[in-house]
Amino acid sequence: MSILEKKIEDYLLGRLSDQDLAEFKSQLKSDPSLQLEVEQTKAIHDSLELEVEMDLRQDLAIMASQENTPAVVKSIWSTKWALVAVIAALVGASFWMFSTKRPAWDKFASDAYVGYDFEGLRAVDQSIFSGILEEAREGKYGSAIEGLESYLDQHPQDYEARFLRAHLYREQGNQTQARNSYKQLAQSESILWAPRASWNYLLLSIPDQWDDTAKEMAAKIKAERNHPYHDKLPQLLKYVE
Amino acid sequence: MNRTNPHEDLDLVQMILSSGSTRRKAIEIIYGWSTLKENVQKYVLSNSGSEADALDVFHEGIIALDRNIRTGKFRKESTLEGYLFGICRYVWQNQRRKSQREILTDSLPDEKGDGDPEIRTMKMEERDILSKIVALLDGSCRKILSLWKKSFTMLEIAEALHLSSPEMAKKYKYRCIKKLKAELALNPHLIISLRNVDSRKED
Repeated sequence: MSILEKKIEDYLLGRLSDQDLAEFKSQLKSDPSLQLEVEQTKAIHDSLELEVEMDLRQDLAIMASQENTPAVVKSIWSTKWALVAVIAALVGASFWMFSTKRPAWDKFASDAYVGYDFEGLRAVDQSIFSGILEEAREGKYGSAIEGLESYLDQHPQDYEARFLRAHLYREQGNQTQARNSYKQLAQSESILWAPRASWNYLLLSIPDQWDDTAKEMAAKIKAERNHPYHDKLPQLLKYVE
Repeated sequence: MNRTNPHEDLDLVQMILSSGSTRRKAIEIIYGWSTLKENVQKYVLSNSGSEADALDVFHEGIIALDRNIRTGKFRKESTLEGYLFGICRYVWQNQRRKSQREILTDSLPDEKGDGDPEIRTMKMEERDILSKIVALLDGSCRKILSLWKKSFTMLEIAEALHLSSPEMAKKYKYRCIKKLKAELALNPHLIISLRNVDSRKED
């Protein structure tokens, strides 16, 4: 880093002494190229700060969801899931060895799918959801979905619950309902869940259900450089063309 | 509020100024301050907010606290808890002001030393422009600069990105900043847009 670049950084972070600050400000007033350099550096710092903020926001959402899960359930649950994961890994490995090769698009769609497992409920009264989540974890998707439908009748704007419902349809193997649910959610105004829903809709549309809705969603993602799934889109489109 | 240990506050500030898991640990500790969280909730609920609003405000407060500590704006004149509560009140008042609801009534006692929390509120327009700036970076540059901004050391960045040495990480970071400046020069409308947003703020 040059001396000037260091000075600009110190200026932006408030680290200059009073004297240095006065001198720098005086220099800035009379030097348009320095003004531009400062503006660019500030824009870079601010944009990176926004990234830090978004990461922290995600962490806080995870903390909120973990806070709502009792510690005993968490520890039993993690042991149970560890065992399930080991068994699943063994079964998966055997299946892979003896089955025919899985289509590439199917593997991609599965790997790239954004499931509900990684997200958490926000400040929702946990008593409403504890039964539903328990049923979902036990694979009782039908009952869990029924519970969610009743809940969503009263709270149609709960986008997170709508995402969970779509996810459970997929887990249940009901591709059509999953796609419909994701499609509706993708068209909502939820800043957090709509992008994820549109991505999942696209994944559930490859390779042979690539309809006009999918084309519109893909075009929108392609046009928005800051869309969360913009960078992954080209890979998905390989399975459509 | 029941927390007055200045040593713990100093430790937490130091942890936030550190990188990676240490910083996250500090955030987790702060997140666990249940009395504070309850008081924020009481404040928001008694000022026409919902439980969901209260949690949002609490989260925004922590984000602003983290930023203010990392940028040196937290001057340690009050407890961390008091400072964070002040931020949360400001955040909610600001949101209410924007939605032009009825006049607020403070139902909780003032916390000593709240002062001006120096919150920077960014308009959606500004956020949108800044997101576009970050999107000019390729994946690895974005990762390097993101870790650097979170105060990861060059050694930690080198390890995270499988670079051969901290010096290499430093070189990459420098190159990425240069690259981004070059991209900004090719996209002058972004800086001009930011300038316009700034000048509207001053109006």
